[in-house]
Amino acid sequence: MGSKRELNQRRVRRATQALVAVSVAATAVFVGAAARTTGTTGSAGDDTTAGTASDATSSFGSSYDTLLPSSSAPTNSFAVPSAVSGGS
Amino acid sequence: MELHSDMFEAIGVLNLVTVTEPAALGPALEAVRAEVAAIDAACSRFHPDSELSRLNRANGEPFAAGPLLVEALGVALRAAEATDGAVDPTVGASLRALGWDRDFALVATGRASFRLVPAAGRNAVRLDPVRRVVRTAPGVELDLGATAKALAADRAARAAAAAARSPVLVSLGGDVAVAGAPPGGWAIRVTDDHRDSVTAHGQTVAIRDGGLATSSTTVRRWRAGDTDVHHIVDPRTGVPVAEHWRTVTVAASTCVGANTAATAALVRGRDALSWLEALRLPARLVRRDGSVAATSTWPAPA
Repeated sequence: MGSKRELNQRRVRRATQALVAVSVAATAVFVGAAARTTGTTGSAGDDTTAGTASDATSSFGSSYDTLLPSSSAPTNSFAVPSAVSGGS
Repeated sequence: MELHSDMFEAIGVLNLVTVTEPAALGPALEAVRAEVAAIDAACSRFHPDSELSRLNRANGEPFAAGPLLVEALGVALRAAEATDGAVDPTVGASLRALGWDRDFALVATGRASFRLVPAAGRNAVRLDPVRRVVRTAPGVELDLGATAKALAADRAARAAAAAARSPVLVSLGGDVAVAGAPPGGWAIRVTDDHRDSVTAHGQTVAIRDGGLATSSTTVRRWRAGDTDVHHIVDPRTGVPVAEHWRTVTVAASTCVGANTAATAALVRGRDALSWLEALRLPARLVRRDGSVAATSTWPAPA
């Protein structure tokens, strides 16, 4: 049985464990909801669900599409140039 | 084949439109001017009423952006990811700290001092492209100079070709995009400075699609303290890059890709040639002494 003091300590421990369990479950639900929201529409007004740089990447295509060769490589030309490409 | 061109000054550079039919020049020019005006209104770091300037003043608060700024930010963030941060839109504070804090024509020479400010990095930008809301970390200043002009060239070439129903070449300060091509392609002189003449030292190549762009440390230079600085900055340090290469030209499927790769190559320095080779991008790299290296898909000079 134990003393009244030990009984109170056990009650506090059980209450703390229950609170931790509830907190973990609630966090899991919240994170899951946030992940689903970000995956569909996102929101920039709330840090939890705001879009990120990677969201932007997926919305505009892969970053690996950025540095692709053209379908035909440049060739030497003896024509009068119609443009100049240089630093600006 | 006779080509027809017109030029105009805007966004601090010389811009060119070339078509294959005389009747196409008017509509093409009008379409290009509209795209340039739109990108200036959306993406200029120096007009206080541009969207980008207002975003930079938002200082961490959510900002409702128009579709063009959202597209430009998406392109810039994608470029940052593709180059592992060698090209980064959060470099605005770095450039300001070096003294480029207004339209370049107004940047004073002989500034007393400068500071080195590393860029915050692309993860300091949160972009919701669906709701068109942008949020940056407080203090972050965006600069889209490495990608927005090239994006405008890509957009302008498409718009001009549609308006003129003709093949079109658009050059915005040497960032070239084409839509369609005459027989033999578009002949382009590759040099250090886009204001050079077509007979300037360099190489003439022809492209048939996509874009071609050049980045160079020989332009936009100024004095800060007793130091000569330029505008190609390593975002990771805020330091103007060491000039292992003075000029890099790249051809790619888009002008954005070409300019992103050319700028990243200047930042990467010594290993740029192998990096561009691995990407199979045709590229011409000029060392400080003027000697030239090129990737295997770049045409050898005749």
